Amino acid sequence: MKKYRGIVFPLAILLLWAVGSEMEWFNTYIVPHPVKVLNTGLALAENGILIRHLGISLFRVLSGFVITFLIAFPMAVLVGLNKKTFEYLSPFLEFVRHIPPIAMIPLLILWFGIGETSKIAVIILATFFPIFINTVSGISGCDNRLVEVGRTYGFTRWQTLIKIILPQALPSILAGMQLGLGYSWRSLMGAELIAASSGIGYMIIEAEQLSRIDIIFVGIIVIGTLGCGIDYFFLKATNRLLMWEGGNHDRDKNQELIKDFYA
Amino acid sequence: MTGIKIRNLSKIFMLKKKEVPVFEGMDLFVEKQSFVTIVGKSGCGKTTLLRILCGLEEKSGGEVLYMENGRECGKCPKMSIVFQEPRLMPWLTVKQNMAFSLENENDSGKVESTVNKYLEILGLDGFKDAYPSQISGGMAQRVALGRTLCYEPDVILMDEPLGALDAYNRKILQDELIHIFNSCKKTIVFVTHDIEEALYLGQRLIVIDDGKIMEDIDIKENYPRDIHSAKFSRLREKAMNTIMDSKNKLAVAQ
Repeated sequence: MKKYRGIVFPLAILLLWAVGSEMEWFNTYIVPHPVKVLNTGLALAENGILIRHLGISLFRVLSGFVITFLIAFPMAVLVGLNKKTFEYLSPFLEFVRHIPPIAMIPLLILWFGIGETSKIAVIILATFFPIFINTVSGISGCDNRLVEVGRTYGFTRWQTLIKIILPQALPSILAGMQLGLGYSWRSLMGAELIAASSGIGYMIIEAEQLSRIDIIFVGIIVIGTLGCGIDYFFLKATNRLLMWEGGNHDRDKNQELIKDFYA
Repeated sequence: MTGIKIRNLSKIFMLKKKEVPVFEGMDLFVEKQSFVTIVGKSGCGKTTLLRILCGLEEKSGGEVLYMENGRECGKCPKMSIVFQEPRLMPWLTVKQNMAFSLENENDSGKVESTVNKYLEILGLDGFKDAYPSQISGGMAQRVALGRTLCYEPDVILMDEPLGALDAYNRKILQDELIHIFNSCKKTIVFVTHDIEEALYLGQRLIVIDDGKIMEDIDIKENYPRDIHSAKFSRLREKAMNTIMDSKNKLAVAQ
């Protein structure tokens, strides 16, 4: 029964929406009928427009995410292993952290144009911090008592990193990656709304110009659903790595803590 | 004379730019293949001594010499320490944790057979695939001991390894330790604050207080020992008085 509690609220909204539309409480110009939204969605899926925009957005998110990870992760390991470097960096990082990536878009467009580069740059800006900060905290918070165990067995620095420090930081690293995925998705939608010629965000803004409120609804629903989907698959794919932690339950708790930290 | 010779050893910690000596001018000889127990109050420097011996802490002065037949050989025997807490890697299973000390052993067949051997000796066979979060504290400490044994050191240093266990598990592991000592003849340096435990296990009891060796008693008694016999009661009294005496002195001085 517990499992189904989560769908009560969405169902209630859907019901209200359907009933309200049937009773003509809303102006269809502002709130379209759910059946119309569904039909539009199916039509967009069928003629390939939705898939095309979706594919482009997903490709941007994944490539941006991978590039960010390749930059942020090694940096975080170096900084995490050497606490002094963090003291040099942390005021600057704190400053940059408070700038929403969307606010950088005008600058990024001037620098990189409106092509793919500026989209990827937005994703990097948004995704860097959760990955970087969580990895740094996972590594610098490493339990020194476990590192000592390695020392007594003659571990090299490299062995200590690979066999003790990184596995211990893994829950934090994965939490950072999960947060980063969510951030990159959100920031990309922002970027596509402001300057793009393709992608789900662009589809929405184009629909606005054509006054196609139904397409806007389709876009919003797709963004939310896909975000959940990405998160779900990430958790599924990485859960096996954290078997020793006792599974999903602990992970959710972990997430809450880290989100609090970010709030 | 073969063993570890500690000469004039001192350790000074810096606390808020103030020097705090843990011990100064400590002399001790640990004979090869002997079971030495060290007792003392918390903070008397017994843990620090072990940490210096296994290289986790720098000494401030003095020497640690490795002797062979009366001469210094300069070769550090293979040493390993069992900590007060199990310090297992939570992401590894019991079996993987035991193999952790053999990370630098390239012969995987040897690793497998060594780990299996000690899994069996310590009765951990049925738990080999469990994670540390799934086993009890006593079991975890047993795994930590197993990890050290897999390393096959010449010298095993033990820093109150049974301190956190309940009385039953403690007794069981004490007897296992005696069994291991008897069967593989390693040098064991065992630190505890429990005088009875020290008397039950050791062939030699060293009482440290205030960074000095106050008492050094040979215990030539076969295992298993009756800790409540008149002889052991006397020894217990003696060690206890030594420790309590210096505490009183300290109280008077203050």
